[in-house]
Amino acid sequence: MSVKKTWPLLAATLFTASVVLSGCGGNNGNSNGTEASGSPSVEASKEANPSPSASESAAAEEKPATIEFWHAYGEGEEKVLLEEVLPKFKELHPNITVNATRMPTENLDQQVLTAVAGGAAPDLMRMDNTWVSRMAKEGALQTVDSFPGFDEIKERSFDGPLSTNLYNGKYYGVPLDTNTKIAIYNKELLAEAGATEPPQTIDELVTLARNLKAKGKYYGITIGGPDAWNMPPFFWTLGGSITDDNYTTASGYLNGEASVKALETIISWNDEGLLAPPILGGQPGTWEGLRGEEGSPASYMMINDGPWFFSILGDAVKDTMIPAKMPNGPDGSSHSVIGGQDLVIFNGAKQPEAAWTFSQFLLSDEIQVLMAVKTGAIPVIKTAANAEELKSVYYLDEFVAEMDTAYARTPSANWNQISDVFGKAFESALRKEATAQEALDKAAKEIDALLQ
Amino acid sequence: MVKGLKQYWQVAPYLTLGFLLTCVFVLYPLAKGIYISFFDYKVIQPSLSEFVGFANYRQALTDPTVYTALWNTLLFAAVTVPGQWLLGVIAATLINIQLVRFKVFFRLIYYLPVISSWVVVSYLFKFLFADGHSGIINYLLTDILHIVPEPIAWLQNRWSANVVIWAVSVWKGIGWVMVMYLAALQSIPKSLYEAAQIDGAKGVSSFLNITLPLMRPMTVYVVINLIIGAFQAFIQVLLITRGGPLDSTHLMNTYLFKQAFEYFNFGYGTALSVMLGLLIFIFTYGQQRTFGRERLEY
Amino acid sequence: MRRQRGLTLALHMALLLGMLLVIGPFVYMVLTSLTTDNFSLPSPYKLMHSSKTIQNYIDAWNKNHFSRYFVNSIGISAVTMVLSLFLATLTAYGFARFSFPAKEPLFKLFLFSMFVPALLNIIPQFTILKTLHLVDTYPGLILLYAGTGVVGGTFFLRGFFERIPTELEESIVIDGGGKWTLYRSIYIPLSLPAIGTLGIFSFSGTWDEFIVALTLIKTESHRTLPIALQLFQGQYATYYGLFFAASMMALLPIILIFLIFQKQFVNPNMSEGSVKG
Repeated sequence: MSVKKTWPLLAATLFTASVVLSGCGGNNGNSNGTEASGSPSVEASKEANPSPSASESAAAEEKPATIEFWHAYGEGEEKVLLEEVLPKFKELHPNITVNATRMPTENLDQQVLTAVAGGAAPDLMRMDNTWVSRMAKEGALQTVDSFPGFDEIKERSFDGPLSTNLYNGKYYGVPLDTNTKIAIYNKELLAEAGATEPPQTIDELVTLARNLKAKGKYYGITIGGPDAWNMPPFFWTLGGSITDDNYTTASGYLNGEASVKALETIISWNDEGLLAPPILGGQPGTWEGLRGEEGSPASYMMINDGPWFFSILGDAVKDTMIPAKMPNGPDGSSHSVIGGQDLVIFNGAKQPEAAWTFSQFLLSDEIQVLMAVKTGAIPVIKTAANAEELKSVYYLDEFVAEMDTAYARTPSANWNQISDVFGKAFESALRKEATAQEALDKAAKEIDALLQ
Repeated sequence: MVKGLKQYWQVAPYLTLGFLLTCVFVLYPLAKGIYISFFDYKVIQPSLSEFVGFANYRQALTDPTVYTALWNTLLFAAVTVPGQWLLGVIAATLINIQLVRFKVFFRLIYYLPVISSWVVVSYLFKFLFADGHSGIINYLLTDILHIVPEPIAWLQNRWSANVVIWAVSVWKGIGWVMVMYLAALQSIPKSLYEAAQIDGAKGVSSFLNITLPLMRPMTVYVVINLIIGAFQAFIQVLLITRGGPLDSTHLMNTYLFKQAFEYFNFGYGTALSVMLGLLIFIFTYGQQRTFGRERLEY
Repeated sequence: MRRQRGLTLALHMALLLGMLLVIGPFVYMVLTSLTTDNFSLPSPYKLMHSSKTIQNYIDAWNKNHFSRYFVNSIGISAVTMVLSLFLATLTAYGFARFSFPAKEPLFKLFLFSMFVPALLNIIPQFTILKTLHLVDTYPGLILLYAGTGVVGGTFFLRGFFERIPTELEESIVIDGGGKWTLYRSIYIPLSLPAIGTLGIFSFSGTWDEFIVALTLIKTESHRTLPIALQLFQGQYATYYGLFFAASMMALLPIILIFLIFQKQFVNPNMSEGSVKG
């Protein structure tokens, strides 16, 4: 493929362009890393795509190794991994065999914990990025800072996804893929509400939702639940926050004036009947409500979801649904939530070096772009995220753009508890079992303790 | 003393294997669990664990979710044990009546839920009881039968969510009770009924006066097992409500599993586990005494 | 005579009504498995009106190693069942027909172990199997299944064994038979209904087991069927049509086992002939 050959040059050009662009954009944390001058990055992208001769000499030195790799990819992603990614790796590193095992997502943390406790952990695992710090805290993971080429990966990665690997000042993994959630609109219902284009601000969105409500059994805004994955894109965009910037305290932030106001706004939407039933676990589900199904036409104008919506449903939604950036809040921008997966190497891995080699390969521009195009996974490597090939995937643009102002979830070994406290506070306020202020005061106090 | 040793020597061929495996896979983990419950336990690096005495147990006493979970667990037992028992006995009795045909067919149908996967039936019931008009149960109640005016949000309230959990558990357990009683009913000599009929006992009265008393050992066994099953219930809650809304439908099992594997509070999780075990032990103590001693006396 | 016919009718009506309640959820499941494009529940309307296809069954059989895991599960469940029955009958016989010091306290200990939730035992169990080099092997998995089933099986069978009158033993003892002979020629044959029932419980318990199998078996091609079912739950979305189609197919072997074994426990002659006090 010609794309392959021209890639490094193309990447370098695009990368330089993106530095300029994001430099203009200004106000976001993610672009900090891109302030590095262009030239080291060009070298970096060269290294990440080793020419055949370079890799041959590297491969010759490699000892034969088989690495165990756990992942919880879906069926479509697994197919790409097995049929395209692994053969490419085998070509470059004939001595390393990757034994990839797909794990069910249910009970996955129990699986990992038991395997590590019993000394039977795999070498490498793709795990949700909110898991890394608590696994690191338990002593399950190796630090990866000292592996050769780590600094280069660090340089090439977006800060947000990279930071999820940081625990007590050390990196326990590298980001593999990332995602965020944007607004997805049903074209017909958007028109029904009286708009041809997705709304630019939250206020416009609310106006549209009111228009729709007046027309009958429609809902203009869908929040998937009160939990710490579904709520933040709205809560943050409306000005709320969970902790201070250094993640040390929640008091004064989660229960600060802006946060309380944000939650109150969401509650008022719910009271007004603008929010679709999924906010409290109701039916139809977000996808069914947005798309409608036989016998029940679409009733949700907008949902907030990740790129998998498009990659899984494919052509069925291409012409009927509109991907768009989240509408902007009071500060003039939107703040969605960063999700994604990291690659970690376990303590007691039998082949840590080979596992690292494979990780580096997965972070090469070529593979990052391949996974993005085939599965909708947003690259964590800046150059790959801005690659031309991604433009061929019609929905990815909006996700990449949303990433710029998206926030990561609180990196903490106690994230599971924090997440539960957060969800319960929002749910109890929405269910009117507490006022917004009471619920958030209580949650802030509990999260303070969990951040210690 | 010598006699005791000799007795052990005689029984050894029968008990050794089973006892050994039980020690290795059940009793050792149990003992280890009790040990762990006195530590702030680090599963991956046990050497870093800290002895905390009864702190985990004390924490349990002040944890409001423990009380909710305990209360749910007791209620779950109070509803599902009699529910399964009664319906199972009725099914067994009806099928066992001589007039009934297609016995194998009925037995199979009633047994189907028992052999289906817990995972599958949990999802199934979650969907059946979905809220709005899209849930079948709501559809039947509001649109077909017109019993309730508005669809019920089953899974969004503590009590209605508990009803769903109870429903799936009873539904899945009836067949088990039925099979147990059918096996036991088969072993009652027909001559007893014939004798009773001569005495004029019929239908319900012969059931109450002959069948049930003869079933007593089986009843004790079934009830103990139902109680154990009730206290061990786990998957249905995990998959249907995940303990929500607002932690109000947790059972002890789902809560301790969450503490151990989601929060990594292993010491606390095992402490809850041990407490629950003791509770069931006490709960069933009266019945245990009679169990195993009793014989059928015809 | 007419009264009896009325009664027969009423009885069958009652049983049919119960059957509707029992089978209703399965009807929903079957209908869902025949529709496509379900990421959540299909609405009642969709279930009734959409076109039906068996495509999900074909897809499910070919996906997630389903057919492979299906065969694995049959083997594992069958071996586990046989081993469990052997262990349970032996142990129950020991408790039923021998007296030895501390018998009842030992039995109580067995009982107590059934009361403590086994959920958290997986880590110590795993560590032991690791020490024995049995992780990722079928013998390890089967031993664990059988080992954790001994107590329940013993509890179940002891009562049945104790109900068999000791007088029956006399003829065999006079012929010079020992305890083994008694075990083989009296206790096993006379308890076949109970053993058949236990066999069904054991088979279906193993067939449905997910957590232990997933924890223990690391090689992908050696996994069991419940893991394949779990894999139909995607990371971001689940195709419920596929999931339920797979579940329906997973039910078939159990139904078969049930039909085979239930012949045992409906055999009415057993109690009439020999067990009479």
